[in-house]
Amino acid sequence: MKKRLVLRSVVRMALLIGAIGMLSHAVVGSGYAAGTNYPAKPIPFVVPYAPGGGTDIMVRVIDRVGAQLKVFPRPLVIENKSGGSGVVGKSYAKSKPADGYTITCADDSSTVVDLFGNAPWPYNDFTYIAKLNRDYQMIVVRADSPYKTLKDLVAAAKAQPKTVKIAGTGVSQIDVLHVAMFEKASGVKFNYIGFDSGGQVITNLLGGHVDAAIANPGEAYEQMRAGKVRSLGVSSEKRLGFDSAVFKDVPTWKEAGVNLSLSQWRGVAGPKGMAKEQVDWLIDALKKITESKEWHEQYLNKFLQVGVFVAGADMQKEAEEEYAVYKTIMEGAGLLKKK
Amino acid sequence: MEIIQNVLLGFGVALQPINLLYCFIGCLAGTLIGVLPGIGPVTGVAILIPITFGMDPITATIMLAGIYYGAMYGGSTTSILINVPGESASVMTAVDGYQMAKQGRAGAALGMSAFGSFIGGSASVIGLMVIAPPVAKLALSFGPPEYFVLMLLGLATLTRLAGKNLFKGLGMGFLGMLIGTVGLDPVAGVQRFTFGRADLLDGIGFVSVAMGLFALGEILINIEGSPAERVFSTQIGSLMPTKSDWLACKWTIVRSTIIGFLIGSLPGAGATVSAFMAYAAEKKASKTPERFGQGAIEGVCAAETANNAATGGALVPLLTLGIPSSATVAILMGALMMYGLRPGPLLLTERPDFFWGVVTSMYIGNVMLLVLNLPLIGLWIKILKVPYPVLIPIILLFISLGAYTVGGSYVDLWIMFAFGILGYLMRKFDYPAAPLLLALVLGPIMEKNLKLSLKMSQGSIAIFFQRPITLILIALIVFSLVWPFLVSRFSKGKQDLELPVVDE
Repeated sequence: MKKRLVLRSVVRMALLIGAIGMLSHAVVGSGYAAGTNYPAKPIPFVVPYAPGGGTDIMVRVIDRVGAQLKVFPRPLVIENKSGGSGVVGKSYAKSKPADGYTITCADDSSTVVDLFGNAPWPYNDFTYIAKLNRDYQMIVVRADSPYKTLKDLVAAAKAQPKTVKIAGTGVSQIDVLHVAMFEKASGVKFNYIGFDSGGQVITNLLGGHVDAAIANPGEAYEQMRAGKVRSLGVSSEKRLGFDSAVFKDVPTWKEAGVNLSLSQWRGVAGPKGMAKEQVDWLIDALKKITESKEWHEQYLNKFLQVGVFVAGADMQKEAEEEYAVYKTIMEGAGLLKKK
Repeated sequence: MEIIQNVLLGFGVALQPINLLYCFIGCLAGTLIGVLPGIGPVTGVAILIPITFGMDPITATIMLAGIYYGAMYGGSTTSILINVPGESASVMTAVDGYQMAKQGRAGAALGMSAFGSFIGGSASVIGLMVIAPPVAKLALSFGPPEYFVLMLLGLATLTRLAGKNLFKGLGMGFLGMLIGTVGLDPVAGVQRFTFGRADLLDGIGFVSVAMGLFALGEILINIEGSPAERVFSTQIGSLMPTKSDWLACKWTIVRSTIIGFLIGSLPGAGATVSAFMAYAAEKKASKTPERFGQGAIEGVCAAETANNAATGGALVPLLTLGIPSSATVAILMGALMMYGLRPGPLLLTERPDFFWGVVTSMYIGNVMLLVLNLPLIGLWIKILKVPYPVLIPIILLFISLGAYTVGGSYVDLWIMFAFGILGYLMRKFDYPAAPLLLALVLGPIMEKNLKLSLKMSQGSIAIFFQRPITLILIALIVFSLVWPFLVSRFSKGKQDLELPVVDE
């Protein structure tokens, strides 16, 4: 008797929840059907990396600045789904309808996982929305390193190939590729040691377990400022304009004799096949955000990023050109795993 | 005298009413996050970061730090009461804590966890104040070869977690290592045992495995038994550890605090490894190691003291060098940067108010947690009075939610269910779960660092014998393997007499 009572109340509860679910769906549905005022509900933003990381921070600042400038009528719904160098989260976003109510990150990591054979989809199988920033690479050494210039390091690596240990992040991530590009441009071979995170790279550099490291300006800045780490060169075309006491004297790789410039980038994309009006709305919103003073203060300057704005088809074209370059490099270095 | 000034400066900051309030909120939220299975400090801190925007950076950090060490306190509760490790660092708490609960000593186990946590946590804060710079140097001297040998030392302790049958224990250890190989190869970057699934690229999640083996396995076994045999029908007993408990745990607390603090400060080891190591060390030090796994209070005390001591240790590299030492600390570092603070070698000199404010708030927080948690024991313990048919669905709901929250993926749920069935079978045929979990945690770290070391040395194993720290660790391994034989030979006559008592 008692059991039946429990059962009945469970059924009743389930019906109630179902009813509420349907009701809310109906409300949302009608809003969407009107179509004219996208976004009619909060936009979920799938961050394919862990909270607190570089991409996560970027998205959270987009959300915050978007709210401050009243660009987004409602806050973004930020959902972290990390794993597999971004593959898990991006796959999840791609599995959602391309109705403008799921967006995710675009970055060169999609290209790299594709080339390393770890992506279940082609790198460009997205609706490209906008590229927002560039992050450069630096070759850094410990303050007491015998290598005073990039030329010293290159000479040492040339004298004894594969003995100079250079640390980077990951074993099938962009640092591997960028080190391979550096090796090709300078005619040397390093002994690349791939750690799990940028933090570990700096730790092992400071501990003297490796001879040099490849790191983003943001990863090395505090250590440089404290005089623990020196930068031998940066991968940008021009010297970096951040904190001049630290970066003024850091030459570009080109100035230091290695004819190469490269960068990483981050941006926003959605599942393939989003409607043009929605893409345009998002491009417009992101443009407003990235042109603002708040964006420069809260993101670019704080995290040592260089702002760019490349939208839609142009962004896709750049990604495709980059893919071709990276593919050639990986073939040359024997890294290409994709069949 | 400088340190006294600094501590006073710190208290000046930490005792401001707003900071006290947020310290309390952080500790409370941390306790809840620790109690909820699956939602560990990593997820907890990540979820709450957005709330802290716009707050004063010191206040925000005080709150986030409170969540971090508060979660370590809370993690013991469900481990002890219902065999559900609230987060990965509490797995070893469940081993003996749950047995104690079965014997009606849940109160003593919870009480000892709270006190052990308090002492370990507070001592590690003092360590952070006094010896942070040398400890940070030590942490830096750990490169891949050192980590490899350290993990080897950890695995050498595996034999001590093996339980009655060494063969079964080692077998479970190998299984754990095997499961740990799923995912990307740590150096070559090729996929192993992923069956082409992106969800498996990062390997099989520890939380899902632990909750499956422990919680789900236990539930399945309990459903099978007749109502009379049910665990929770036992009496609850005293709410506090007895005098003899204290005597038993006296040195455990000291040893576990040191182990926890030091291992916690190593980037790449962390609270989980330190709890394992402290537990194994206690079992080794104990005169009656056979009680471990059967409800030894030293086991609970070792694990809880160590994982709380590790929280202070973990902040050493962050606050002195600007290097994150664990996943949670990495998130904390991201948050600090969003507040406009740059953790680095200069933080201590440029923002002493920040460093000392946060550190002293941790001391206050530890007191708050003790005061908060002791009365809660009486409340938590009432969970045991909930009839099992009602409790099971609730536990199932929470562990499923927990497994899902870790990565936001259903795959973790399936993994948990699969390991639940395995856990049931293991219990049925008396295979211990702890060696599997230890190997699952240590195996991948060990493999990665072995491969990196050999890459550094271009294939020569001499690298492990040329560095002072590795040599010390190798000596420890040899010692720990040879010692039991020496002891048994030395006291052979005596043991012959005792043996029948040991083996029931």
